[in-house]
Amino acid sequence: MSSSAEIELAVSLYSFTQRFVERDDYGVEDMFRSLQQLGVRRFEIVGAQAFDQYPRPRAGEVDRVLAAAEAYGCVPFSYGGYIDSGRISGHTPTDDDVMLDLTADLVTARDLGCHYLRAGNIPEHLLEAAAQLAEAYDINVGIEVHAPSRPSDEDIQRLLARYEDIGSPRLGFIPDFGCFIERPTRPAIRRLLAMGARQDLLDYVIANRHTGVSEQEMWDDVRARGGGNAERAAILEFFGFLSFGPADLDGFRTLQPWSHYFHSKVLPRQRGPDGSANSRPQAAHRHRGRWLRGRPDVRVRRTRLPPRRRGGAGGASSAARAPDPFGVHPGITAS
Amino acid sequence: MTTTYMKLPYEDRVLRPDALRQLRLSSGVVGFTLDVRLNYYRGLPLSAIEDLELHVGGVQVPDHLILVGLREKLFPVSQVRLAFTEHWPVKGILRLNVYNGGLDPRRHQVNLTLHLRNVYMQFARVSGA
Repeated sequence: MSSSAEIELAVSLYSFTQRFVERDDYGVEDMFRSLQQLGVRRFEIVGAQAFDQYPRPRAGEVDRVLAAAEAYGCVPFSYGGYIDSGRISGHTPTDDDVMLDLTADLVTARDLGCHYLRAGNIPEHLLEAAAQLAEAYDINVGIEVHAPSRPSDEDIQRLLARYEDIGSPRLGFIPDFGCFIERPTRPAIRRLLAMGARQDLLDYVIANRHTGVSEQEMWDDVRARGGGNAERAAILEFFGFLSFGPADLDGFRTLQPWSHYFHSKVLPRQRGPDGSANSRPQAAHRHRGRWLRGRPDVRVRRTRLPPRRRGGAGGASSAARAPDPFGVHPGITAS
Repeated sequence: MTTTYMKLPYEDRVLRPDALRQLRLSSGVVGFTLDVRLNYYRGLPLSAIEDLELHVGGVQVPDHLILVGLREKLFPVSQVRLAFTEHWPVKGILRLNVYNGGLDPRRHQVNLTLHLRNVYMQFARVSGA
Protein backbone atom coordinates (compact mmCIF):
# COMPACT_ATOMS: atom_id res chain seq x y z
CA MET A 1 0.00 0.00 0.00
CA SER A 2 1.34 3.41 -0.92
CA SER A 3 2.06 5.90 1.77
CA SER A 4 0.67 9.42 1.58
CA ALA A 5 4.18 10.76 0.98
CA GLU A 6 4.04 9.26 -2.52
CA ILE A 7 0.98 11.29 -3.49
CA GLU A 8 1.81 14.52 -5.19
CA LEU A 9 -0.74 17.30 -4.93
CA ALA A 10 -1.33 20.04 -7.42
CA VAL A 11 -4.13 22.56 -7.87
CA SER A 12 -6.09 23.44 -10.98
CA LEU A 13 -6.43 27.17 -11.47
CA TYR A 14 -10.01 26.31 -12.43
CA SER A 15 -10.54 26.21 -8.67
CA PHE A 16 -10.53 30.01 -8.65
CA THR A 17 -13.21 30.36 -11.32
CA GLN A 18 -15.73 32.31 -9.29
CA ARG A 19 -13.28 34.98 -8.18
CA PHE A 20 -11.73 35.12 -11.64
CA VAL A 21 -15.05 35.55 -13.43
CA GLU A 22 -16.68 37.94 -10.97
CA ARG A 23 -13.79 40.25 -10.17
CA ASP A 24 -12.10 42.33 -12.85
CA ASP A 25 -9.12 42.89 -10.55
CA TYR A 26 -8.51 39.18 -9.91
CA GLY A 27 -5.95 37.43 -12.10
CA VAL A 28 -3.47 34.60 -12.27
CA GLU A 29 -1.07 36.46 -9.99
CA ASP A 30 -3.67 36.28 -7.21
CA MET A 31 -4.13 32.56 -7.86
CA PHE A 32 -0.42 31.89 -7.55
CA ARG A 33 -0.31 33.87 -4.34
CA SER A 34 -3.03 31.57 -2.98
CA LEU A 35 -1.10 28.50 -4.08
CA GLN A 36 1.97 29.78 -2.32
CA GLN A 37 -0.08 30.25 0.85
CA LEU A 38 -1.42 26.70 0.49
CA GLY A 39 2.08 25.36 0.07
CA VAL A 40 1.26 23.88 -3.34
CA ARG A 41 3.62 24.48 -6.26
CA ARG A 42 2.24 22.50 -9.18
CA PHE A 43 -0.79 23.73 -11.09
CA GLU A 44 -3.03 22.93 -14.00
CA ILE A 45 -4.19 25.83 -16.15
CA VAL A 46 -7.29 25.83 -18.38
CA GLY A 47 -6.50 27.64 -21.61
CA ALA A 48 -10.01 28.68 -22.64
CA GLN A 49 -10.45 30.32 -19.25
CA ALA A 50 -7.07 31.84 -18.54
CA PHE A 51 -6.16 33.24 -21.93
CA ASP A 52 -7.75 36.02 -23.95
CA GLN A 53 -6.94 34.16 -27.14
CA TYR A 54 -7.84 30.49 -27.49
CA PRO A 55 -7.02 27.91 -28.78
CA ARG A 56 -3.72 29.66 -29.43
CA PRO A 57 -2.88 32.30 -26.84
CA ARG A 58 -0.55 35.14 -27.71
CA ALA A 59 3.06 34.57 -26.70
CA GLY A 60 2.78 37.48 -24.29
CA GLU A 61 -0.07 35.77 -22.45
CA VAL A 62 1.97 32.61 -21.93
CA ASP A 63 4.94 34.69 -20.83
CA ARG A 64 2.82 36.55 -18.31
CA VAL A 65 1.53 33.32 -16.76
CA LEU A 66 5.00 31.84 -16.54
CA ALA A 67 6.48 35.01 -15.07
CA ALA A 68 3.75 35.25 -12.44
CA ALA A 69 4.12 31.56 -11.61
CA GLU A 70 7.84 31.88 -11.19
CA ALA A 71 7.42 34.89 -8.93
CA TYR A 72 5.44 32.72 -6.51
CA GLY A 73 7.50 29.58 -6.96
CA CYS A 74 4.78 27.77 -8.95
CA VAL A 75 5.25 25.39 -11.88
CA PRO A 76 2.67 24.30 -14.49
CA PHE A 77 2.36 20.56 -14.87
CA SER A 78 -0.81 20.17 -16.94
CA TYR A 79 -2.69 22.18 -19.53
CA GLY A 80 -6.47 21.92 -19.76
CA GLY A 81 -7.60 21.90 -23.37
CA TYR A 82 -10.77 21.22 -25.32
CA ILE A 83 -12.01 19.80 -28.56
CA ASP A 84 -14.59 22.46 -29.42
CA SER A 85 -16.60 20.26 -31.74
CA GLY A 86 -19.55 22.66 -31.63
CA ARG A 87 -17.60 25.69 -32.72
CA ILE A 88 -19.57 26.04 -35.95
CA SER A 89 -23.32 25.57 -35.76
CA GLY A 90 -24.55 22.83 -38.07
CA HIS A 91 -21.03 21.69 -38.95
CA THR A 92 -19.89 18.23 -38.02
CA PRO A 93 -16.21 18.52 -37.16
CA THR A 94 -13.88 16.73 -39.54
CA ASP A 95 -10.80 14.78 -38.50
CA ASP A 96 -8.74 17.81 -39.53
CA ASP A 97 -10.80 20.04 -37.22
CA VAL A 98 -10.17 17.71 -34.27
CA MET A 99 -6.47 17.33 -34.96
CA LEU A 100 -6.12 21.09 -35.32
CA ASP A 101 -7.62 21.64 -31.86
CA LEU A 102 -5.43 18.92 -30.39
CA THR A 103 -2.31 20.31 -32.03
CA ALA A 104 -3.05 23.84 -30.86
CA ASP A 105 -3.38 22.62 -27.27
CA LEU A 106 -0.20 20.54 -27.51
CA VAL A 107 1.71 23.57 -28.78
CA THR A 108 0.46 25.64 -25.85
CA ALA A 109 1.18 22.85 -23.38
CA ARG A 110 4.73 22.70 -24.68
CA ASP A 111 5.07 26.50 -24.54
CA LEU A 112 4.04 26.35 -20.89
CA GLY A 113 6.45 23.51 -20.17
CA CYS A 114 3.69 21.10 -19.11
CA HIS A 115 4.07 17.33 -18.97
CA TYR A 116 0.37 16.70 -19.56
CA LEU A 117 -2.50 17.85 -21.71
CA ARG A 118 -5.97 17.19 -20.33
CA ALA A 119 -7.56 16.94 -23.72
CA GLY A 120 -11.12 17.03 -24.93
CA ASN A 121 -12.83 13.98 -26.33
CA ILE A 122 -10.69 12.51 -29.09
CA PRO A 123 -12.56 10.11 -31.39
CA GLU A 124 -11.31 6.55 -31.10
CA HIS A 125 -10.18 6.35 -34.71
CA LEU A 126 -7.88 9.36 -34.14
CA LEU A 127 -6.23 8.08 -30.97
CA GLU A 128 -3.28 6.51 -32.74
CA ALA A 129 -2.56 9.75 -34.60
CA ALA A 130 -3.00 11.61 -31.32
CA ALA A 131 -0.41 9.37 -29.67
CA GLN A 132 2.08 10.07 -32.45
CA LEU A 133 1.45 13.80 -32.16
CA ALA A 134 1.81 13.64 -28.39
CA GLU A 135 5.12 11.83 -28.82
CA ALA A 136 6.33 14.52 -31.20
CA TYR A 137 5.48 17.24 -28.70
CA ASP A 138 6.71 15.19 -25.71
CA ILE A 139 3.39 15.63 -23.92
CA ASN A 140 1.18 12.97 -22.31
CA VAL A 141 -2.47 13.25 -23.34
CA GLY A 142 -5.20 12.36 -20.87
CA ILE A 143 -8.94 12.11 -21.42
CA GLU A 144 -11.00 12.93 -18.36
CA VAL A 145 -13.52 10.46 -16.93
CA HIS A 146 -16.13 12.73 -15.40
CA ALA A 147 -19.65 12.15 -14.11
CA PRO A 148 -22.07 11.09 -15.45
CA SER A 149 -19.52 8.78 -17.08
CA ARG A 150 -18.37 5.87 -14.93
CA PRO A 151 -15.24 3.79 -15.42
CA SER A 152 -17.26 0.68 -16.30
CA ASP A 153 -19.27 2.46 -18.97
CA GLU A 154 -19.08 0.83 -22.35
CA ASP A 155 -17.52 3.84 -24.07
CA ILE A 156 -14.86 4.24 -21.36
CA GLN A 157 -13.97 0.55 -21.50
CA ARG A 158 -13.83 0.77 -25.30
CA LEU A 159 -11.42 3.66 -24.92
CA LEU A 160 -9.34 1.57 -22.53
CA ALA A 161 -9.23 -1.26 -25.08
CA ARG A 162 -8.01 1.17 -27.74
CA TYR A 163 -5.29 2.42 -25.38
CA GLU A 164 -4.18 -1.16 -24.84
CA ASP A 165 -4.21 -1.91 -28.57
CA ILE A 166 -2.17 1.19 -29.38
CA GLY A 167 0.14 0.64 -26.45
CA SER A 168 1.42 4.18 -26.24
CA PRO A 169 2.25 5.55 -22.79
CA ARG A 170 1.39 8.98 -24.21
CA LEU A 171 -2.32 8.12 -23.93
CA GLY A 172 -4.20 7.78 -20.69
CA PHE A 173 -7.12 8.74 -18.45
CA ILE A 174 -7.62 11.48 -15.93
CA PRO A 175 -10.34 10.09 -13.65
CA ASP A 176 -12.31 12.73 -11.77
CA PHE A 177 -13.27 11.44 -8.34
CA GLY A 178 -16.58 13.22 -8.82
CA CYS A 179 -17.70 10.16 -10.75
CA PHE A 180 -17.75 8.31 -7.40
CA ILE A 181 -20.26 10.62 -5.70
CA GLU A 182 -22.75 8.41 -3.87
CA ARG A 183 -25.16 11.19 -2.96
CA PRO A 184 -25.33 14.94 -3.65
CA THR A 185 -22.96 16.98 -1.55
CA ARG A 186 -24.16 19.54 0.96
CA PRO A 187 -22.49 22.42 -0.90
CA ALA A 188 -24.40 21.43 -4.05
CA ILE A 189 -27.67 21.32 -2.13
CA ARG A 190 -26.98 24.70 -0.51
CA ARG A 191 -26.21 26.25 -3.89
CA LEU A 192 -29.43 24.94 -5.40
CA LEU A 193 -31.44 26.16 -2.42
CA ALA A 194 -29.83 29.57 -2.83
CA MET A 195 -30.96 29.53 -6.45
CA GLY A 196 -34.52 29.13 -5.18
CA ALA A 197 -35.01 25.38 -5.28
CA ARG A 198 -37.48 23.84 -2.82
CA GLN A 199 -35.98 21.38 -0.35
CA ASP A 200 -38.89 18.97 -0.71
CA LEU A 201 -38.51 18.87 -4.48
CA LEU A 202 -34.75 18.33 -4.23
CA ASP A 203 -35.43 15.46 -1.83
CA TYR A 204 -37.94 14.06 -4.30
CA VAL A 205 -35.46 14.22 -7.20
CA ILE A 206 -32.73 12.56 -5.13
CA ALA A 207 -35.04 9.82 -3.87
CA ASN A 208 -36.28 9.01 -7.37
CA ARG A 209 -33.07 9.55 -9.35
CA HIS A 210 -32.50 5.84 -9.86
CA THR A 211 -36.07 4.62 -10.28
CA GLY A 212 -35.70 4.34 -14.03
CA VAL A 213 -37.23 7.67 -15.04
CA SER A 214 -35.47 9.71 -17.68
CA GLU A 215 -34.22 13.25 -17.12
CA GLN A 216 -37.11 14.59 -19.21
CA GLU A 217 -39.69 12.52 -17.31
CA MET A 218 -38.28 13.75 -14.01
CA TRP A 219 -38.49 17.34 -15.18
CA ASP A 220 -42.07 16.91 -16.37
CA ASP A 221 -42.94 15.40 -12.99
CA VAL A 222 -41.19 18.09 -10.93
CA ARG A 223 -42.62 20.88 -13.03
CA ALA A 224 -46.10 19.48 -12.39
CA ARG A 225 -45.29 19.64 -8.66
CA GLY A 226 -44.48 23.33 -8.93
CA GLY A 227 -40.79 23.18 -9.76
CA GLY A 228 -39.08 25.94 -11.70
CA ASN A 229 -35.69 26.74 -13.17
CA ALA A 230 -33.77 26.00 -9.97
CA GLU A 231 -35.26 22.52 -9.73
CA ARG A 232 -34.62 22.07 -13.45
CA ALA A 233 -30.97 22.92 -12.88
CA ALA A 234 -30.87 20.38 -10.05
CA ILE A 235 -32.26 17.66 -12.31
CA LEU A 236 -29.69 18.51 -14.95
CA GLU A 237 -26.87 18.27 -12.44
CA PHE A 238 -28.08 15.08 -10.72
CA PHE A 239 -28.52 13.37 -14.09
CA GLY A 240 -25.39 15.00 -15.49
CA PHE A 241 -22.03 16.14 -14.19
CA LEU A 242 -23.11 15.77 -10.55
CA SER A 243 -24.65 12.39 -11.13
CA PHE A 244 -24.46 10.10 -8.12
CA GLY A 245 -24.78 6.42 -7.31
CA PRO A 246 -22.83 3.47 -5.97
CA ALA A 247 -19.12 4.12 -6.51
CA ASP A 248 -17.73 2.13 -9.43
CA LEU A 249 -14.52 1.06 -7.74
CA ASP A 250 -14.10 -2.15 -9.76
CA GLY A 251 -14.25 -0.11 -12.94
CA PHE A 252 -11.80 2.36 -11.47
CA ARG A 253 -9.25 -0.41 -10.92
CA THR A 254 -9.30 -1.18 -14.64
CA LEU A 255 -8.36 2.42 -15.46
CA GLN A 256 -5.59 2.79 -12.90
CA PRO A 257 -2.76 1.39 -15.07
CA TRP A 258 -3.68 3.91 -17.75
CA SER A 259 -4.29 6.91 -15.52
CA HIS A 260 -1.94 9.87 -15.77
CA TYR A 261 -3.28 11.67 -12.72
CA PHE A 262 -6.52 12.18 -10.82
CA HIS A 263 -8.93 15.01 -10.11
CA SER A 264 -10.49 15.48 -6.73
CA LYS A 265 -12.51 18.22 -5.08
CA VAL A 266 -11.39 18.81 -1.53
CA LEU A 267 -12.58 20.96 1.32
CA PRO A 268 -10.44 22.19 4.19
CA ARG A 269 -10.80 20.71 7.63
CA GLN A 270 -11.07 23.39 10.27
CA ARG A 271 -8.30 23.15 12.83
CA GLY A 272 -8.17 24.48 16.33
CA PRO A 273 -5.45 26.70 17.75
CA ASP A 274 -3.51 23.61 18.85
CA GLY A 275 -3.58 22.23 15.32
CA SER A 276 -6.05 19.47 16.11
CA ALA A 277 -8.99 18.79 13.85
CA ASN A 278 -11.95 20.95 14.84
CA SER A 279 -15.19 19.07 14.46
CA ARG A 280 -17.52 21.85 15.57
CA PRO A 281 -20.13 21.93 12.82
CA GLN A 282 -20.69 25.67 12.95
CA ALA A 283 -17.03 26.51 12.60
CA ALA A 284 -16.61 23.97 9.85
CA HIS A 285 -19.65 25.31 8.10
CA ARG A 286 -18.36 28.87 8.07
CA HIS A 287 -14.96 27.78 6.91
CA ARG A 288 -16.38 25.68 4.13
CA GLY A 289 -18.67 28.49 3.17
CA ARG A 290 -15.68 30.68 2.38
CA TRP A 291 -14.02 27.94 0.40
CA LEU A 292 -17.05 27.48 -1.80
CA ARG A 293 -16.10 30.69 -3.53
CA GLY A 294 -12.77 29.31 -4.62
CA ARG A 295 -12.23 25.83 -3.35
CA PRO A 296 -9.17 24.03 -4.53
CA ASP A 297 -9.77 21.50 -7.24
CA VAL A 298 -6.85 19.28 -6.56
CA ARG A 299 -5.19 17.19 -9.20
CA VAL A 300 -3.33 14.22 -7.78
CA ARG A 301 -0.57 12.87 -9.94
CA ARG A 302 0.54 9.28 -9.82
CA THR A 303 4.15 9.75 -10.73
CA ARG A 304 6.80 12.22 -9.77
CA LEU A 305 8.38 13.86 -12.78
CA PRO A 306 11.07 16.49 -13.05
CA PRO A 307 9.94 19.92 -14.15
CA ARG A 308 10.35 20.64 -17.82
CA ARG A 309 12.15 23.56 -19.23
CA ARG A 310 9.85 25.65 -21.33
CA GLY A 311 9.75 24.35 -24.91
CA GLY A 312 12.41 21.79 -24.13
CA ALA A 313 12.57 18.15 -23.28
CA GLY A 314 12.67 18.64 -19.52
CA GLY A 315 15.49 18.09 -17.08
CA ALA A 316 16.83 18.86 -13.67
CA SER A 317 16.51 22.34 -12.27
CA SER A 318 16.69 24.04 -8.92
CA ALA A 319 12.93 23.50 -8.63
CA ALA A 320 13.42 19.76 -9.11
CA ARG A 321 15.78 19.71 -6.15
CA ALA A 322 13.45 21.61 -3.86
CA PRO A 323 12.52 19.60 -0.77
CA ASP A 324 9.18 17.80 -0.87
CA PRO A 325 7.05 20.34 -2.74
CA PHE A 326 4.12 17.94 -2.91
CA GLY A 327 3.51 17.10 0.71
CA VAL A 328 -0.14 16.82 1.62
CA HIS A 329 -1.24 20.14 3.03
CA PRO A 330 -2.30 19.67 6.62
CA GLY A 331 -5.28 21.95 6.24
CA ILE A 332 -7.06 20.09 3.45
CA THR A 333 -8.64 16.71 3.27
CA ALA A 334 -10.62 14.81 0.74
CA SER A 335 -14.35 15.27 1.13
CA MET B 1 -22.69 14.26 -22.04
CA THR B 2 -26.09 14.96 -23.48
CA THR B 3 -28.30 17.24 -21.53
CA THR B 4 -31.02 19.76 -22.07
CA TYR B 5 -30.48 22.69 -19.79
CA MET B 6 -27.66 24.43 -18.03
CA LYS B 7 -27.62 27.45 -15.80
CA LEU B 8 -24.55 29.18 -14.41
CA PRO B 9 -24.52 31.67 -11.56
CA TYR B 10 -22.94 34.69 -13.25
CA GLU B 11 -26.09 36.29 -14.69
CA ASP B 12 -25.58 39.44 -12.64
CA ARG B 13 -22.36 40.24 -14.46
CA VAL B 14 -23.80 39.98 -18.00
CA LEU B 15 -25.27 43.50 -17.94
CA ARG B 16 -23.61 45.75 -15.38
CA PRO B 17 -24.97 49.11 -14.23
CA ASP B 18 -22.60 51.00 -16.53
CA ALA B 19 -23.29 48.79 -19.56
CA LEU B 20 -25.45 51.27 -21.43
CA ARG B 21 -23.89 54.40 -22.95
CA GLN B 22 -24.68 56.93 -25.64
CA LEU B 23 -22.91 56.46 -28.96
CA ARG B 24 -21.79 59.97 -29.75
CA LEU B 25 -19.96 61.06 -32.88
CA SER B 26 -18.94 64.58 -33.98
CA SER B 27 -22.36 64.98 -35.52
CA GLY B 28 -24.03 64.17 -32.21
CA VAL B 29 -25.64 61.15 -30.66
CA VAL B 30 -26.22 58.46 -33.27
CA GLY B 31 -27.18 55.56 -31.04
CA PHE B 32 -26.05 53.70 -27.98
CA THR B 33 -23.68 50.96 -26.95
CA LEU B 34 -24.41 48.03 -24.67
CA ASP B 35 -21.57 46.08 -23.04
CA VAL B 36 -22.27 42.39 -22.63
CA ARG B 37 -20.27 39.86 -20.62
CA LEU B 38 -20.34 36.10 -20.53
CA ASN B 39 -22.35 34.02 -18.10
CA TYR B 40 -19.89 31.16 -18.32
CA TYR B 41 -16.74 29.81 -16.78
CA ARG B 42 -14.58 29.85 -19.92
CA GLY B 43 -14.27 31.91 -23.06
CA LEU B 44 -16.12 30.92 -26.21
CA PRO B 45 -15.73 31.40 -29.92
CA LEU B 46 -17.93 34.25 -31.10
CA SER B 47 -19.69 31.73 -33.33
CA ALA B 48 -21.10 30.11 -30.20
CA ILE B 49 -23.74 32.83 -30.15
CA GLU B 50 -26.90 31.09 -31.32
CA ASP B 51 -29.32 33.97 -30.87
CA LEU B 52 -28.80 37.65 -30.18
CA GLU B 53 -31.81 39.91 -29.93
CA LEU B 54 -32.11 43.39 -28.51
CA HIS B 55 -35.38 45.04 -27.56
CA VAL B 56 -35.85 48.64 -26.48
CA GLY B 57 -39.21 49.47 -24.99
CA GLY B 58 -40.53 46.16 -26.20
CA VAL B 59 -39.56 46.82 -29.81
CA GLN B 60 -36.85 44.68 -31.39
CA VAL B 61 -33.86 46.55 -32.78
CA PRO B 62 -33.33 45.37 -36.38
CA ASP B 63 -30.10 43.44 -36.89
CA HIS B 64 -28.92 45.86 -39.57
CA LEU B 65 -28.70 48.64 -36.95
CA ILE B 66 -26.31 46.62 -34.77
CA LEU B 67 -22.58 46.08 -35.10
CA VAL B 68 -21.06 43.58 -32.68
CA GLY B 69 -17.65 44.68 -31.37
CA LEU B 70 -15.06 42.34 -29.92
CA ARG B 71 -11.76 44.01 -29.15
CA GLU B 72 -10.89 46.03 -32.26
CA LYS B 73 -13.13 44.08 -34.64
CA LEU B 74 -16.69 44.71 -35.75
CA PHE B 75 -19.21 42.21 -37.08
CA PRO B 76 -22.73 42.55 -38.40
CA VAL B 77 -25.06 40.24 -36.51
CA SER B 78 -25.35 38.06 -39.62
CA GLN B 79 -21.61 37.32 -39.53
CA VAL B 80 -21.33 36.45 -35.86
CA ARG B 81 -22.19 32.80 -36.50
CA LEU B 82 -19.27 32.64 -38.94
CA ALA B 83 -16.69 34.13 -36.57
CA PHE B 84 -15.39 30.80 -35.24
CA THR B 85 -11.79 31.97 -34.97
CA GLU B 86 -12.69 34.95 -32.75
CA HIS B 87 -12.43 34.12 -29.06
CA TRP B 88 -14.69 35.95 -26.60
CA PRO B 89 -12.66 35.77 -23.36
CA VAL B 90 -14.47 34.93 -20.16
CA LYS B 91 -13.59 38.36 -18.75
CA GLY B 92 -14.03 40.13 -22.09
CA ILE B 93 -16.65 42.62 -23.18
CA LEU B 94 -18.82 42.23 -26.25
CA ARG B 95 -19.94 45.71 -27.24
CA LEU B 96 -23.16 46.09 -29.18
CA ASN B 97 -23.02 49.30 -31.22
CA VAL B 98 -26.60 50.28 -31.98
CA TYR B 99 -27.11 52.93 -34.65
CA ASN B 100 -30.74 53.75 -33.96
CA GLY B 101 -30.40 57.54 -33.64
CA GLY B 102 -30.05 57.40 -29.88
CA LEU B 103 -32.32 57.11 -26.90
CA ASP B 104 -34.24 60.08 -25.54
CA PRO B 105 -33.65 61.00 -21.88
CA ARG B 106 -36.63 58.97 -20.59
CA ARG B 107 -36.14 55.67 -18.79
CA HIS B 108 -36.00 52.77 -21.21
CA GLN B 109 -36.45 49.07 -20.77
CA VAL B 110 -33.62 47.34 -22.66
CA ASN B 111 -33.92 43.57 -22.99
CA LEU B 112 -31.13 41.38 -24.30
CA THR B 113 -31.66 37.81 -25.41
CA LEU B 114 -28.42 35.89 -25.75
CA HIS B 115 -28.30 32.16 -26.32
CA LEU B 116 -24.87 30.55 -26.28
CA ARG B 117 -23.95 27.12 -27.51
CA ASN B 118 -21.75 25.08 -25.20
CA VAL B 119 -19.19 24.23 -27.79
CA TYR B 120 -17.59 21.20 -26.18
CA MET B 121 -20.72 19.51 -24.86
CA GLN B 122 -23.52 17.85 -26.74
CA PHE B 123 -26.91 19.27 -25.83
CA ALA B 124 -30.19 17.75 -26.86
CA ARG B 125 -33.05 19.87 -28.10
CA VAL B 126 -35.97 20.19 -25.73
CA SER B 127 -39.31 19.58 -27.34
CA GLY B 128 -41.45 22.66 -27.25
CA ALA B 129 -38.66 24.93 -26.06
